[in-house]
Amino acid sequence: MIENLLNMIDGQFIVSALVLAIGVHAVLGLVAYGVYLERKISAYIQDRIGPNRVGLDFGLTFLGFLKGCLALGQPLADGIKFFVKEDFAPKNVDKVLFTLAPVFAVVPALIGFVIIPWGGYWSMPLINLPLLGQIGGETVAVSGADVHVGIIYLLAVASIGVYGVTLGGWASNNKYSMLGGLRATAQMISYEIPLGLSLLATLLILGSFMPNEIIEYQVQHGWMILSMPLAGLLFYTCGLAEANRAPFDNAEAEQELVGGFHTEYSSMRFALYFLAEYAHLVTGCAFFVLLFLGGYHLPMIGITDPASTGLLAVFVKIGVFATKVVLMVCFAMVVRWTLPRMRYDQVMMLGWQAMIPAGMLILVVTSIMVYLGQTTLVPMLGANFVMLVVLLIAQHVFAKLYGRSTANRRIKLYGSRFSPMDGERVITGPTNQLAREDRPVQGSVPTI
Amino acid sequence: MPIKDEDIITITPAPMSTSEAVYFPSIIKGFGTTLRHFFTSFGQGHTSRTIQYPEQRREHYTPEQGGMEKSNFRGVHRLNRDGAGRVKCVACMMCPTICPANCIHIEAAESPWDDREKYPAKFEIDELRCIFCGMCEEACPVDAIELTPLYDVVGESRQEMVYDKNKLLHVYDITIDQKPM
Repeated sequence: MIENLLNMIDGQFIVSALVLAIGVHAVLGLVAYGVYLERKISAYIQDRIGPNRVGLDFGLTFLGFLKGCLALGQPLADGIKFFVKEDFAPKNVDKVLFTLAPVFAVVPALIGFVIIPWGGYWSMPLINLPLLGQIGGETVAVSGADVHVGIIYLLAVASIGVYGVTLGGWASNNKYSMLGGLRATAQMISYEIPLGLSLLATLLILGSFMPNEIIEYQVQHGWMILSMPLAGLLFYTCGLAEANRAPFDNAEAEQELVGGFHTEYSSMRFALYFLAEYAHLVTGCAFFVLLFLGGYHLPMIGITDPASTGLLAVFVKIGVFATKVVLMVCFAMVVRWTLPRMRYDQVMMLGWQAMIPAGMLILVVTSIMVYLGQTTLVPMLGANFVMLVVLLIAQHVFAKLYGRSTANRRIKLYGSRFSPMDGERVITGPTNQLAREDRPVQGSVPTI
Repeated sequence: MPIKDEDIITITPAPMSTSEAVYFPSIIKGFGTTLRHFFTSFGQGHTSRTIQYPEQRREHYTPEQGGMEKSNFRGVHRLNRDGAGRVKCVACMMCPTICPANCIHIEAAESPWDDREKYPAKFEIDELRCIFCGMCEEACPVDAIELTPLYDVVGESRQEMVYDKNKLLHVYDITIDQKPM
């Protein structure tokens, strides 16, 4: 029995365990400092300074040189604050779901990292270990799991994350939370489709679900963002929507839903939601880097090729991959502080009327290109240009047919006071003249 | 007064141009704006508007630089003293009457001095209720109550933030240099 278990432990097992153990903590650290980064970036964008007080000196004099220090101790202080705050659950909440929901949010966000191929392959030297005997002497993948279903696994896991949000909204016994949870669900359903379509188009060309093979393809044929910029754009946008990130963070829209699904959450449970949100963002960015930005590969630098499998190469690759992920996270933060949150109907309209048709077009054109065997850089760029032209013409034609939308892009709800049915008399204010002291609702038709 | 219907202007937003309707050109323009601000204010660059509060204070700057004008700033109250060092107040009850927050409580008593009939035996201002509107200052017929440029007042309890006569006179002593009567 024990013999069998020991036989299971080979070089790949040890490396995978190490990568997982380090990776989870690295991601958690990245999440904590992601919050700090977000605050800093938003501050500079808004001409402020951001956190700059909490150094890492812990009040000790011999660490005085770390005082201030760009407030690098801020995430630590925030974490301690979350732990010592009162863990409050309101009356009449569904206690079990209320406690489980943050867990449902965090776990899928964290286990998605398993398949990210941080360091490519490592030709492991032979090592003699007590109890296990000789180990290594083979090429092992520096990732949690080097599986053939990598991309499918990541997709499946990433979309479970919305359960946490919806359950939290349901369990809170609060209308705002409920609405936030529902919005998250609807948004997830809508944006999974264009995400899947753009992903499918990319995978048609890549020809593999295996993360390492995807990167190898990109090393040989150039990064996918160059040959499929439109799919990349669509994928990144949908990734933001999947991660409930601005400008698609309708599930927690502070102005409308006072915090949405986490209105009733406090203390560590809220911190878990926070963690899940940022972990989702990091996963999404790692996914994007893997699919479109060549993973650990840098052009012209031989050590980042899949062919070099030395220990140094592994560390360089991990560094390159992590740097790309952090840069994409920074970009998502700039997006957040640039674009205002879209109104909910606009989000849905963008999803169903723009993103999904565009995704279908990309899929069809890419399929044709694959059928013709023209999947190298130049023909694909031509195809992308054609797609862009087709989309612009379609936009123009629809604008001609249905009239140009205003900046408001209001969806007409027939029968409402803004879009009355034919011959309908709209009465918006109170019918009693004495009660009409107040300002009438804008857009009303004066009757009475 | 209801707003007349002919006074209501219904605004119809202009239709979007093509670049706005396909979003991305406008979004890239937006990135330009945010990144310009990011790089010009990076590390307290020239567009940064922050005053590092406990070290730098608004008093140190002129109003043009974003500082504060001390002569008409409405901070914590003080009770002025007259030439003989006595409280100037005559307990006329104008300030508690005008106070919209009902935060001034005065108990008048017969004055021990010859030049007035009443004086405040008790004078309390609840600085937590006060909205710092400055109406008391305007109502006062003898310029006894004034608002000072002090704004960073703290207390460890609510009771501590109810300023009595001695405390208000003390505020006068420490602010008379900053804001002469």
